Amino acid sequence: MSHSEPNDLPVRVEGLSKVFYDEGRGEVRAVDGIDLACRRGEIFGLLGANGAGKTTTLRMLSTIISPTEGEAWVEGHSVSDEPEAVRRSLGFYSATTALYPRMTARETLDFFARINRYPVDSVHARVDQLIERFGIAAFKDARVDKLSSGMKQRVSIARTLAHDPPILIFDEPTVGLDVLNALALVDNIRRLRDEGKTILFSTHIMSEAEKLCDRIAIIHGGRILTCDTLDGLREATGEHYLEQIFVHYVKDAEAAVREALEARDEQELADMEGK
Amino acid sequence: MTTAGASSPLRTLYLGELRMLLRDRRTLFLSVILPLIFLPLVFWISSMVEKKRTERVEKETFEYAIVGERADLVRELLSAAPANEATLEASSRESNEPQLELLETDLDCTEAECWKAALGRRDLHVVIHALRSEGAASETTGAESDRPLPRLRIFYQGNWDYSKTAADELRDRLRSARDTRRGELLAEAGFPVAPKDLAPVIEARDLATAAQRGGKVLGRFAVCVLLMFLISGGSVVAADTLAGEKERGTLETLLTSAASRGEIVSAKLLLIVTIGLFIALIQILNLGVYVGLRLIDIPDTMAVEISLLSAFWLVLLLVPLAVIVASALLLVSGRSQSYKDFSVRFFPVLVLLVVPSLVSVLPAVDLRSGIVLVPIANLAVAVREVLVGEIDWLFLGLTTLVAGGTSWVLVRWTLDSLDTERLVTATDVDEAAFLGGEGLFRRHVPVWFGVFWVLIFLANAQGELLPSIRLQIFFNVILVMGAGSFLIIRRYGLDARKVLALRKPNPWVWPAVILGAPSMLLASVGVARISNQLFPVPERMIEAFARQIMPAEMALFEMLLLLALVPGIFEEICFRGALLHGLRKRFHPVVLCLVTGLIFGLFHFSLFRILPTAFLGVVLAAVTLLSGSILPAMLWHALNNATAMFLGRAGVDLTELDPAFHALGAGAAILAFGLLWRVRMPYPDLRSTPVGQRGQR
Repeated sequence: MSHSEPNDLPVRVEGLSKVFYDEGRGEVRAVDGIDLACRRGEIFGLLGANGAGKTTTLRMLSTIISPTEGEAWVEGHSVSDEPEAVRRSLGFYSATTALYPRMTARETLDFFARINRYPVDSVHARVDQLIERFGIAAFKDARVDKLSSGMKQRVSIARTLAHDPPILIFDEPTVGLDVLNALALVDNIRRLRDEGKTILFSTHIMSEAEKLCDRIAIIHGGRILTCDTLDGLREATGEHYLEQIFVHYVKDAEAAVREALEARDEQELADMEGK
Repeated sequence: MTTAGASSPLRTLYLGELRMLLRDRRTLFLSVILPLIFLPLVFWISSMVEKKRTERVEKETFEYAIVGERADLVRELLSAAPANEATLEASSRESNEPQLELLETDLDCTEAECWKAALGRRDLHVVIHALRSEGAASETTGAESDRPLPRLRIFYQGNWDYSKTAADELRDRLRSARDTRRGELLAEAGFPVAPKDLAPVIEARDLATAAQRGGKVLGRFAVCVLLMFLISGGSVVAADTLAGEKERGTLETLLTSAASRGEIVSAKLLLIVTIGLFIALIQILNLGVYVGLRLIDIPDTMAVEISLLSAFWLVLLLVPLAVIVASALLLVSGRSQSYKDFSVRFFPVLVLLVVPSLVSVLPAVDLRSGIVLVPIANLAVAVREVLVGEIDWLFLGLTTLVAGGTSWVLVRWTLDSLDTERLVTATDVDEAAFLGGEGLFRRHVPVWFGVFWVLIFLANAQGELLPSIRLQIFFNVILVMGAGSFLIIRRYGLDARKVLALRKPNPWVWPAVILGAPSMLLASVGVARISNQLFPVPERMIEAFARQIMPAEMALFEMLLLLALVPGIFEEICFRGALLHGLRKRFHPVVLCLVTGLIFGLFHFSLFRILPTAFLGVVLAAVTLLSGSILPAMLWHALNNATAMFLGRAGVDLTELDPAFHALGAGAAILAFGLLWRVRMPYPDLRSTPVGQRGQR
């Protein structure tokens, strides 16, 4: 355990890359050498379109997949060398992390507190506390497959918090939720930040990022284009709305890519002519 | 957050899974209830079918016609033979067969075509054609007989059950009547004794106890039946547990928890083993109840006595069987994305599991053969031996070890499947397949060596294919091992220098090798002799240690070339080159030596050569890892073979040597390895993390 990081950065990422091979597209650098750092007690937003590399980055952080290059540390633990310690310090929530349909809500919380090595004597108290806090009491003994989607979502957040981890990762959490449930979720995330949790939050919805995030990193094509507070981004671009700011950076990036490609083509043409 | 006072994830996982399983009505029905009612149902249906058949046979009137000149003779014989006695005496069929009602009918035709057509139309069951034999020769002596013998032919339709039944019955009755008639005729002709008192009586008596006989019958199918029980219980649970979790999306939730991959796989494995064993036990009890209630008849030959020792071994063999089945099923589940995927892969695995267990049906297969190394087949043969009361500690122990090793490998593969991103997250493709080269080579190495093994096995299984030792060496060593290794290097675009560890070793390595090779040979024979004192092994085993190289009828220089130099170069390229390089990241260096050694041993097919060559393989791997180069191992291998060869030519029998030589050899070998250790330049890029940590991701 090395909690005594110099600047107390709960999440630190250096040169992280992930290369996939896709039959159609060939080599795909889903994440291409990104650096980032989360400060304690902030909501750090990862804003990007679909396929920008948000999910891949967060999956590497939660050690479901391993990086091709680079390294990341969660609470000082390396994702490559101490995956278990990493997972113990974080809660991972995404639209794809389902609950066991045949467990009751209460059993789910108990199960995840225990397998996340929460101290045995305190498991009961912790579960009761979560049931109270997320208003699960009315359906705590019902099987998950009998619950409505709103109820499931509350159990799911409680499940993420079962072992009281200092860091929470929300990977596009509002996908598939109706407006009210999405609002409730966003509200919950804000409250968790206020309680001192460090939160990594990925989304492609501008308004969510605008309302929620203390700092925003815009990710595109597997690279982080910029990372700042909303005010900082406004100042740097002269735009007001996040949507415009996002387009500004992405257009710049795409122009840069286009220029690079054109330059390469020209070079190749010149080479051919030279021969 | 501290680990102190934390609950054990393994226990939580196991109990949680068990609880969910018990709540799933479909799984519960498929894996527990269905097998429970299935077996009695099968027995019940088969007994009902049998009853029905008997009833119908009893009701049926079987019609036959007699044609030909001697029809009178047939009628005479049939009227003389009392039906039931005749059947009992002459029939090979069981005595509880129903009494047939036979009735002669008239047939209008005499032409063969005509009554054959009638049989074909099923107008009647049987036609007996009675011929007067015209000048027929007696069949046995070939001599002309004074009395032409009539010949009776029974015609029936073999594809019609009732026709066959009637024909059998008529044949038995006619034979019996003929025999009686023969006796009467002999007596009439003045033959002094009854024919049945003429010949010596031949009897066979079985000294085996009923229990031993029963064990033999039961032992043939015991493991196969147990396997079916284990699979029927385990497969549904296995499908639900990893493939099902992927389909439901809960696997990702589980994998982001702090439970290690090892704990997750262990809990699931334990669950499948529990359910499999539970079902097997229930089925056995179930059968017992039905047999006890006489609902199912079991032949008397099935009486089995099981001593305490046998019971101990049976349990010891059953547990690895259950674990192999469970881990194979879990592996399939881990490799599948969904239930559908699982069911597609399930059938080949079912065949792969069940077919080897049928080896015990073959009477000639002995546990003291290569079969001891074949998983499941060895368990089947071992259980058969234990059931007839044969307890061979050495080979039963070996069987248990092989079975344990197999399940270990299967569990490791399942663990790997949780680390293989392609299998966990559907959209992502794992990188080794793309990056190719080194990473892909490391993954494919076992497959390549499996192919090499099969090639060499097939080519050598048939003696005619490679008739001379020259051809064998050319095919096995140069073509498969040598050229095969270069093919691998080319295929993955690897750097041959790196793969083959072609480095210059420390000069001090050379004297160590020259000292070590012959002395290790002496020492290993000594070790074999000592261990023989403790655990007696067949003499051939020690001899195999002593005569690793069989001197052939060829000139000395040719022997040196073919039996020392060629293996020294090409076998090293293959095993201490490609294989060692490919496996180097998979195992801790010590385990790496043992594994490559064992694989090297397995390429020498004769069972008694496996151990000594495996030992040599371990030593050569150690030499390579310590010196960081393949060249010393090449020299060591060649020297080892040359020494064995020269000793064989000189007529020195190593198994008869004064023990002092072995001690001397051991001392020198230790000295050689001490020197190797001192000047070591370890093989680069080995696995550095301790073995245990691999499953922790």
